[in-house]
Amino acid sequence: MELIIKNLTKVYGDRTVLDIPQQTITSGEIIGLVGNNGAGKTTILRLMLDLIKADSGEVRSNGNAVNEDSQWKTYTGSYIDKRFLIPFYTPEEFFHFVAKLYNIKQKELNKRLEEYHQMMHDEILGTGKQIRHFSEGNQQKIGIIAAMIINPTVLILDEPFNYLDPSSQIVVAKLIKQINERLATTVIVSSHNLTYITDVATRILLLEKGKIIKDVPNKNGSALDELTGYFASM
Amino acid sequence: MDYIIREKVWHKTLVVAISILLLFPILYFTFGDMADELSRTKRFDYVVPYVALSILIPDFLLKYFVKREKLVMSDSMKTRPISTASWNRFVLLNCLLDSGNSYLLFFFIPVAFMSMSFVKSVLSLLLFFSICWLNGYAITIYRLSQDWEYKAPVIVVGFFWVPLVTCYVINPLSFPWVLHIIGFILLCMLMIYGLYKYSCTIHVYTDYSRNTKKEYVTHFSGLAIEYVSMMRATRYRLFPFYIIFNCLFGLFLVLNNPYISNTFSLELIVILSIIGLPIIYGIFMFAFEGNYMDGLWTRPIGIRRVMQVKYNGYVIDAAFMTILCYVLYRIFRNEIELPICFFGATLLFTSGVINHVIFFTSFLAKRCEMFSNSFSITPYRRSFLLEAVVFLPIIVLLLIYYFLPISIANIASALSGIIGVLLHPFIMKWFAQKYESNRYKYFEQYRN
Repeated sequence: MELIIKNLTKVYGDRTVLDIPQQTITSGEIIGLVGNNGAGKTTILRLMLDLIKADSGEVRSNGNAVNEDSQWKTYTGSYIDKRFLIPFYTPEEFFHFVAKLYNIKQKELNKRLEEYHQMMHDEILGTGKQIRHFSEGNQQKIGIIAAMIINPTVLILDEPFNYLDPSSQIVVAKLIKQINERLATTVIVSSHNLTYITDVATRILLLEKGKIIKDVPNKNGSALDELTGYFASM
Repeated sequence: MDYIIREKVWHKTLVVAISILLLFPILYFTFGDMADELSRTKRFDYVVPYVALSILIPDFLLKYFVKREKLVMSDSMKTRPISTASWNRFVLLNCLLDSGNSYLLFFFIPVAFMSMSFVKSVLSLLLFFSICWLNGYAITIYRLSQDWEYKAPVIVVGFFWVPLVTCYVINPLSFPWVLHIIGFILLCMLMIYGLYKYSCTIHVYTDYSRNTKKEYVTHFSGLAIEYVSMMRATRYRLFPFYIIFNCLFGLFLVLNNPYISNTFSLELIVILSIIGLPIIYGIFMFAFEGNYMDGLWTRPIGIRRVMQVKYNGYVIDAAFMTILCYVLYRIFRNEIELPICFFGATLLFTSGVINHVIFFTSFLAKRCEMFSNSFSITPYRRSFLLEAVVFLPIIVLLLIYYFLPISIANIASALSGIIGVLLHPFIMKWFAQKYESNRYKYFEQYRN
């Protein structure tokens, strides 16, 4: 699925926090969004998910404006923060709820959950705990799994490596690449972790003060040095 | 490998429900005897200690079910120089000022001042207040104690406290009335002081890993999310039971009171009972969802569908209460006649009018803090205007039944209900569209 951003701006008070004249994300790309705090990474993701109102411009997913047509919800998996989880559900209940919304049958759900077994470390399913009682890291895992379990053609993840233990970070990076290869999923990931983002992304968008200041192609981590140099010089 | 485990979900709920229902005979026997005594002797002051004794256990049990806050010092306060003693004094003061602790006084104030002299009324109210404060504080300390070895002393003292008070009420030393009541108040104060000193000896930790109880994994239908959210919200899970209890207890009292003979009293309590439960769920419209609205909005479940699930839930609530009221009415029926079509008309009015009007709350809802146990002020606020909008149709219905003969009132309420039900798809569509057109504003409110 192709995503097109046109003249997108977001203003808070008299501060423009996002200003992107034109950007196209073609089908099957893995886009890494990097930038310091306040650069506008989460804002752009929220606008892509129609969670906040753009002051001007639009985001088009598969040709349709996301704020006018809700078709994108059927093929987009996303996880921004804990507000994407239902805190009083157990992980099983939550996955079941998500599966129901996407018409995934129970048997198929169980099969798909198997694929995330390594990431769950036997700490998530079968515990009987409500999601709110899990650690930040495990909540993050539940959110990421719920986003991926629907086999999305567009996947949007905000800081997916945060809170995760080292082995889970490796697994998440691997899963992002796998889902992209297997389903040609268009992935947009934001992160502060340059190592992982350059490991998974095919293109890096560097944001600063709401503007995309660099659009760096990334093949086998080739953008890492450039990005490291940029942030070190700030 | 089957990851979805299905287990029974209702046994705990059932225990709570049965416990609450057990209060009916307790209250009936205690208050029934009091009423006989009162009508025989005309000595209202004489029965004050007995009334105080009789409310002791029901008040404690009700608070046990309803009062959930632990008043634990938050981590941010704990790491600052605030002594445990100061915090415990704050907890004590909080219980003193908590109007929920002394709700019984609202019933006793008019009765006391109408039936006794000023001094006796004040003393009686002070006594009731002391008991309410003590019960509320005892529950707070009980909930503060994290392990059974700390809870046990509170329970044991409670077991000794009831016989002690019972002996004192009999007044074996034949104190004059005033001294007797003052002594009773002092006994309560002594207990409160003892609990305060005890609270200073227990150590309370906000240990989140303790919250690892096994949840009953449910098989969700479309409706379940409505009920599961309320049942698992620490602060609010007993609200529906409380409403059901109050309504049915009110109905029970009206049906058993020989002095109430007008039909409207019965109509009033039945109407409020049927409408009460949907209203309770309705005032939390999108307040719980506010905690995960981002997740809902980005998934293929439209606001219209979410609202429909809610509406269906409200209809089931109203139908449940209608059946319960009718059964109770048939069991304890007195000389007041209520035709079955009255129950049907009220249910229709609730489904067609009230359950739609409730949806105005979706426009003014704030995110509700569902799980906070420590002392915090919930960001969930209500608007006076909103309450007026919701309660207006209830008042209109009550006025219809007050001023019109019951047969005409039934036709009027049933007709309005039927019109509401027929217009249901259009009304829901309008609410959903209205909500979606202002969604960014609402989403922002939930995030704050």
